[in-house]
Parts: sequence; C-alpha cells; structure tokens
Amino acid sequence: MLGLGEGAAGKFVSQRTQEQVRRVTVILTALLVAIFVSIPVYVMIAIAFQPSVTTFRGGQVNLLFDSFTFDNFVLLFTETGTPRYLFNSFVVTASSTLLATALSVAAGYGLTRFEFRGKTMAARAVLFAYMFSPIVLAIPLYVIFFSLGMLDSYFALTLALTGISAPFGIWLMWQYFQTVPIALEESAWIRGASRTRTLWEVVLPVARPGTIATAIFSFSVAWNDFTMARVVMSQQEMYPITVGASLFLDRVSIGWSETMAAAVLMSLPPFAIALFLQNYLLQGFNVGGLE
Amino acid sequence: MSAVSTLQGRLGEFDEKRLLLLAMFVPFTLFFVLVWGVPIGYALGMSLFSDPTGAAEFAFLGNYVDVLTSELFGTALWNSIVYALSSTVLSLVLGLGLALVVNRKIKGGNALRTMMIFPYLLPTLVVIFMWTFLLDPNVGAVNQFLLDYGVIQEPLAFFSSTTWAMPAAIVASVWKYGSFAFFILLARLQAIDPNLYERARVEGASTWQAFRDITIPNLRGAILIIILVRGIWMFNKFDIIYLATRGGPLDATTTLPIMVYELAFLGSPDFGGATALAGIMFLLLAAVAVVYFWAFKPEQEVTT
Amino acid sequence: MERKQFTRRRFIGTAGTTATLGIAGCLGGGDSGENTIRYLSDRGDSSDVVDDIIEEFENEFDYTVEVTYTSRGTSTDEELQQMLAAGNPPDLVFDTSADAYRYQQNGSLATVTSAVQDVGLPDPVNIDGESYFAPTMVEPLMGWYRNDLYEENPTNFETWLSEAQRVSEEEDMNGYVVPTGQTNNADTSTTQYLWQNDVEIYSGPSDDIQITIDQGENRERAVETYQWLQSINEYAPNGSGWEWGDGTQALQQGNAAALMSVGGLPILSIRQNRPDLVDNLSPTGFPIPQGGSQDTWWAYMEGHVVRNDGEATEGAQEFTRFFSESERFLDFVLSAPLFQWPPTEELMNSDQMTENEVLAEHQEAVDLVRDNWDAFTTVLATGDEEAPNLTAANAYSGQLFGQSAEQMLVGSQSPEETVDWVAAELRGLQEEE
Repeated sequence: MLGLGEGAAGKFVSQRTQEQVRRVTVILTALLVAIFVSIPVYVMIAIAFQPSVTTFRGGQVNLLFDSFTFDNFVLLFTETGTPRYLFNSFVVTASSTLLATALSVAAGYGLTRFEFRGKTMAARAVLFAYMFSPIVLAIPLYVIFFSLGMLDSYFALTLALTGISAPFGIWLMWQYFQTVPIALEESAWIRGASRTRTLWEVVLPVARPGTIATAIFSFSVAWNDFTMARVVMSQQEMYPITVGASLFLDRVSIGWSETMAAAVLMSLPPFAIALFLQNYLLQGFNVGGLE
Repeated sequence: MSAVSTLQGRLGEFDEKRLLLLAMFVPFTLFFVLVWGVPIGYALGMSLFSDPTGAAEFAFLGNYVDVLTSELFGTALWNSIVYALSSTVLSLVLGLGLALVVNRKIKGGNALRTMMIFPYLLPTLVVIFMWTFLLDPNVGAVNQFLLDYGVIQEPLAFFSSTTWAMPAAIVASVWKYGSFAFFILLARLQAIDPNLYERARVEGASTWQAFRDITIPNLRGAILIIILVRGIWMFNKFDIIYLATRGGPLDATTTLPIMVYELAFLGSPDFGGATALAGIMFLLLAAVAVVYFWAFKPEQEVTT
Repeated sequence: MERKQFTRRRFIGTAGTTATLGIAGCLGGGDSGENTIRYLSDRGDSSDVVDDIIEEFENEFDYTVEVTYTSRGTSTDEELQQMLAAGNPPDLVFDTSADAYRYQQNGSLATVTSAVQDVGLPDPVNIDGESYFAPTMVEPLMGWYRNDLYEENPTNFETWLSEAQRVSEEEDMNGYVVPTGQTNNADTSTTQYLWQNDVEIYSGPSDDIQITIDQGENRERAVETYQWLQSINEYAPNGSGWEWGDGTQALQQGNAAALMSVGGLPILSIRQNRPDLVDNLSPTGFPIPQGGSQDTWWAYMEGHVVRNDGEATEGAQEFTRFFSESERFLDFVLSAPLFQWPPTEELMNSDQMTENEVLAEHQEAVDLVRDNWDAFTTVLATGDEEAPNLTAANAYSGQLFGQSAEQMLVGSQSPEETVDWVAAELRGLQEEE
C-alpha cells in the first residue's frame, strides 16, 4: 500500500526525496497503528490495576493510575475458579497448537512435493468446511462426542480445536513450502540422506517462519475458543478460562475492574508469545536468505 | 545416523515416499471427518426436518422455503455482506501496510511487530470487553474524549445507534483481525530472497517496480487466500457482533449468523430453520468460492 | 492412482458410517445411571452454597449430583438443547416459572409436589393439583432515583415526566432511562408500564388465551402508555440494547438520574464502584397513573424443575425437596441480597433476613418489597385469575415487548402502529404454539 504513492512519483522525483517521503509515511503509519493498537490495551490495564472506587470516582472514568492495586486479581484467584480455568486453557492450547502445527506441516509438505490426482481439489475441499456456520454444528458435535464417550476430556477438546485450525494451517504451509526450492532437498538426497531425514534436517529449519505463522494461528484458535469448549466440557473444573470467565463475570458483584483483570490474565500468554516470537521471527530473515 | 539413512535408502524410494504420504494425510483426514464431515452431514440432515431435536417430522425443503421467504433474510444477507466485505478489506489493508513497514528495518520495528501480533492472539471475549468499554456511552473513554474536545455535545451510544453500530463492530473486528493478515504476510515477505531486491536495484529498478515485480507476485497467493478465508470467516462471524449488539438496534447488525442463532436458540427454538439457513449460507459461500477459485487459482505456485 | 482415490473415498465413507453407528448405538443410553443426578444451573455465582447443599445431600442419600453451571441468559437453553439432541437430558434444571410451564406443556416434567406443597412454597405451575415447579427465589422489578435531584418520589406518570424534564434541563444529565430491544430489561419494563396503566394484554383461561391489547379500552390505554414512553424518552439516553448493567452504569456515572431495574441490582454495583453515591439513591416502584394503585408488579420466580426423561428422576425429586427444606436455603437466596428475595412472606420475616447487613442498610427497599408483596406477579400468571399463560411466557422469551419499544423509539413507529405491531406478533406466536 505504502509503495503505491511513492512509486507513482518515483520516476519523476529524485531518489532522495523519494526516500524521505517514504520514511515519513512509514513512520506516520507505524505511529498511527501503534496508537490504535495500544489504547484499548492501556485502558484494560489501567482499569485492572486500579481499585474500582478510583476508576469511577466522581462519575468520571479515571485512567491515570492514581492508585495501584492487585485486589482485583486477588479476588479472581481466591474467590473464583480462575487458576483451574487457566490451567485447563494451557493444557488444551499447548496440545492443540502442537498437534495442528505438526499436521499442517506434514500435509502442507505433502501437497507441495508429491503429485497426485485431485490434489488441488482435495485442498480446496478442505476450505469448504469453514463455510458452514459453526453455530449449528454445536449440537451435532455434542452428539458425536457424547456417543464416543469423550465429553469432558482434554483429548476431545484438543481434537476439536485441531480440527478447526488444521485446514487453514495446511494451506499456509502449502503456500510456504512453495517458496522453498526443491534444489535444497535434492542436494541432500544426492548426499545420501533419506527423504525423512531431509525433511527433518533440511526442510523444517527452512520452513520455520511458515511453521511459526501456522503455530500462531493454531494458538489463537485454541486460546480464543469458546464455542468448542462449551460443547465438549460440561464440568466446571474442565472449563477453559474463556468459558469460566463468562461464568463468574456475570455475577452481580462483578464489575469492570474484575472483568478487566480477567482480561489481563487472558492476555498474558498472548503477550508472552508475541514477545517470544519477536526474536524468533527475526531469525527468519537469516534462514529465509537461503545461502 | 548414516547407517540408518543408508538402510532406509535401500528399502527403496517408493515405500518410504508412500509411508510419508500416509503419515501426512491419514491423521488429518481422520480429524477432518470427525470434526467437520460428520457434523455438517448431521446438520444438513436436520435441516430437512421440522423440530429435529424433538418430535422430528420430515419436511424436505420446507425449512429452506420458510427461511428464504422470511422478512429478515434480505436484511441479514445485506448486513453480512457489508460486515464481511468491509472488515476483510480493511484488515487486509491494515495488515499489508504494516507488514511492509515492519519488513523494512525501521526504529521500533520490533516493538511494533510484537504489538501487532498481540490483538490477534487475544480471545474475542477480551477484545469485546475492551471495545464495549471504550465505546460505552456512560463509561467509555472515546465518548469522554470526544466530549472533552467538544466534538459531540452528548455521549454517543455507538452500539445502540442504527448508524454507528455496524461501523463500531467493524472497527473492533479490524482491530483484532488486522494482525491476521499482518503475520501471514510478514512470514511470506521474509521468505523472499533479499538477493532478488539487490539484483533489481543493481539493474536500476525503482522501488515501485521492485514492489510490483517481486513483492506482489510473492504475496499474491497469500493475499488471495487471506481474502478468501477471512471473508468466509467474517461472513460466518458470530461472537463479536452478538456480544456487542446482539444484532440490534432493530436489525441494524443482524447478520446471517445472528439470524441462525436467533432461530436456533431464542424464543421458540426452530433448529430445522437454523440448520436450513446454515445450509443456505454454505451454498452461497461455496458458490462464491468456486468462482473465486476458478478466477484466481489462489493455490497457484509462485513464479518469480 | 485410481486405486488410491478409491481407498480414500472408501475410508471417508467407513469413518462416517462408524461414527453414525456409534451415535445410534449410544442414543438414549447415557453413562450416568440412576444414582447420578445431573443438574443444570445458571447460578454459578451461588456455587459455594449449592455445593454445600449437594454435599449434605450426598452424605444423607445414595446419590451423586453432577452440576453443569452455565452463564446467565440463553446458555442454559443452548446446553439443554445439546443434551436433548444427544438423548442425554439432565434430571434437574434451575429455571424460571415461565420456562417450567413451557416444559410442562411439552410433557417433559415430573412432579415436585411434595417439595412445594409440603414445604409451603408458592405453586405457580400447578396442573390438576400436582406441582411442577419448586421456587427458590423471587426477583421483583424496582426503580432507583437520585434523591438529591428529584425532590421526592415522583410516583405517577405525569410527575415523572415533568420531573425528568426538569432534571434533564437543570442538570448535565438525563432524567430517566428507557431501555429498548431484545433485552430482559427492555422487555420487563415495557410490559410493566403497560400493566401500570391497567392494559389487559391477554384475557381468558390457560387453554383459551385471547390477545386483548388492541381491543377497545385496552388499545387506548396501551397507546397512551407508549405515548408516555415516547415523551419520557426525550429525557433519556439512547437505550437501545441496554441490559440491566447499562442502565446501572448510566446511573453510576451520573448520566441518568433515575431508572427502572430489577431489585437492588443497580445499588449492588454502585456500592462497589461509587460508594459516595449510595446515599443519594432511593428505591421506587414503577410510575402509576394518576389516582391509580399498584396492583400488578413484575417479579421473576426462579427455582427447580425435574425432567421426566432423565435416568435419575426420583433422585432429582428427592434433591429438590431436600433443597427446599435445607437450612442453607436462605443462604442461597442471600448470595445476592436486594436482588434475590425469598419466595414466601414467612421467609421474608425470618431472622436471617433481618440480620443481613446489606438489607439492613437499605431498609427502604426492604419495606417496598414487603408492602407490595401481594402485587408481585410472574409474567406466566397473566391468564384469567392468574392462570398460566403460555403466550405470555413465549412473548417474554422472545422479548417481544422490548422489541416493541425499539420499533417505536428507534424505528420511529407511532404508538398506534406499535400496539398493532405487538398484537400481530403475539397472534403470530399463538399460531406457532
């Protein structure tokens, strides 16, 4: 998008002005987006770490950290099932992210490197699943998991979430593997490595940025999930944080402060991941360079 | 290690390849059938019955006719299209712009990247907490800001206004999903061999030419697939709108998924109607997708 | 290649068939057995008390109770539909009397007569002498106004209007709140305004409910009520889609000076966020017409129903009775004082009620509930002589009256058109029954 404006002018304006215009646009965009992204987050944090009396004092909403407290969090940890809900979320998210990423990498590689009839059709068909409104799938899924005796298990929820993220994950990886030149693998084969070993030692490291994108996607599906958990889990002690939070947040005694505290807790793992990925994605530059 | 590989080599290319193929597709197929195939079949089956979860009676296409002829259908279809199109396009524009910015090494680029991935990872529930709070007429910071600067005289109840409810829902959606396009495109951008740009520069190509001839072809597949998948997801998106407005005021934000939900669970539940509507939505999307696949072939291999 | 495709397709087919067979094989046969009572409840906020009662019950009887807590609102209905579709119905459900009557009419409830009649609880769903609903609490509507801005309780329609106008003009805020749309707040209050003005929305016995809101004098009074709503809405913020909590926030942030809500819900939240405001708020009933009296006052009634298609029906009946007689019964009610009230006057006057600190601090609200106890009515009991009214129960669950207010205030229908709209929708509902 940015390229458009500067580019049109590119032929007439000097290289230097072009560069300057570009810099300014880039920085402006970055700044605007930074504000757009961070304001809601700031508001959430401000409310979560202030006593509600301070936040709502005098009929104004005070977001400037006059006083600081952990009370809202303490309440969540002592009077609700939050710790248990968080634990459940961790278990399910981790397992489904791993599973979905592994499946996607495997199938995505298969789609790129093996030719078989109906390949494109099969891959397209997978996407058609997303076209069915998930709201009405809740009842059939419940019936299926009930019949298989799998209600209230991490396993069932992991499967369900993987089912949601894997179809798109495969497309992502398929797209990604197309950018990896087959020459890399061929030279490994020539050196006598097996296909499996080549896959493991040559292809996977090169495919890392794509794998990470897939993992981010699977993580977000799992961590965000509400619907599937409502279908699969009926015991309170098995609820993930999203469903659990919706349980205690509609208590009459719960207000915005506790709500935002819960929101902060739900944001911590995403934040940790974003931080962690920052370094990881950087490595992508080197690997993607393909010496 | 090398002993193992020679052993495998001797077993023959063909068997190993076949084994690999199986390992790649069988688990996925299993999941797929369990989580999508069977439930979709089941739901389509239910759409042919009246009261399918109670005293089921075969109605053939009766539910479909009822849904298609109901007053709400047209409104809901229009709202769905508006919502899906605008949130998809805006997220893509935002995500692409940002991916291009971050891919250049600018100061603070790292922080920006962290910030951008973050919203997408947040549960919808959290996103809704933030935006309903921000846009609330009573406690919302946006209203307080606009009032303080005299832009408005009285707080604006964004989610209660027929004019503003849809744009507000779209803003919240773009906030969350802009990063989806961002991180996918960023991953693809980074996979482009930097030597290509170097060579282009040496040959005297302008930035725009390099963008057009190197960046765009490499991103094409990803962009096309983002439009398709995000479009489908936004068309079927239920939680953001429901949590923010429940489809109101009047029917200003009643999209097809909201209508499905209302049919299925509100008042006197009509699960036959709900599944029939889901079937109709499926057909609509499938028709669009078939044309899309035919016209754009988003899976087409990159040629640089 | 050809073969591969074939295998693939056959595989998918087989998996599908296996799953279907699995479903067929298990339908109707849960793994719970008749000693496990499965309990569906949206009262997660009282789960401490409920869990205690369950523990006592399990110690005394040879049953285990498995609770599924859902969040408030429609999620109980969703969960219930899932369970029914799987042939895995719960034995015990916590629900409103209106829903209880709907299930009873579908033939899916077992009696809880002894848990109601022997304990002396109200008996709103009594069919041929048998009770089908064991109430645990009532939640009456109630209004709150700023006593520092309103000089006194405006009481009637006219004064409310003029006072709301005065407050709006003098203060930098709205005098009143009019919620509209598909919310409980909008639906209950719109219905209550009509009741206040003596509009008979329905008439007739349970098996022959007539829609009378657009007939004769009722029509005039209904139009008048909607007109009043339209006028006072001038002094209210845009309340489309507002649930109880939104009105409370308007009151709390000083954006509105009065609102109609349910029980002490607003005060519970304001006590927490703006304690400085608590003394400035007084409870009130809904506006009444000049010279009229308060004779029908909306109160929710919530409690237990036992389904007859589960496997532990007897156990669930046993538990319902145990719950009704439990010593912790009032603790359950008092987990949200001012919002939830006991189901009988006798319990209202019990020591536990008088000793409760929150209640003691809001004596005015307690008195208001006591004084109007006899006027409390559920939306279900709106047939002739308080006979159960299925149409009213369905109208509530589709929040038709909340929608009618929205048709008028957001969709700019005239009051006359709105009355016709509601009447037509109600008749439409009846056709579906």
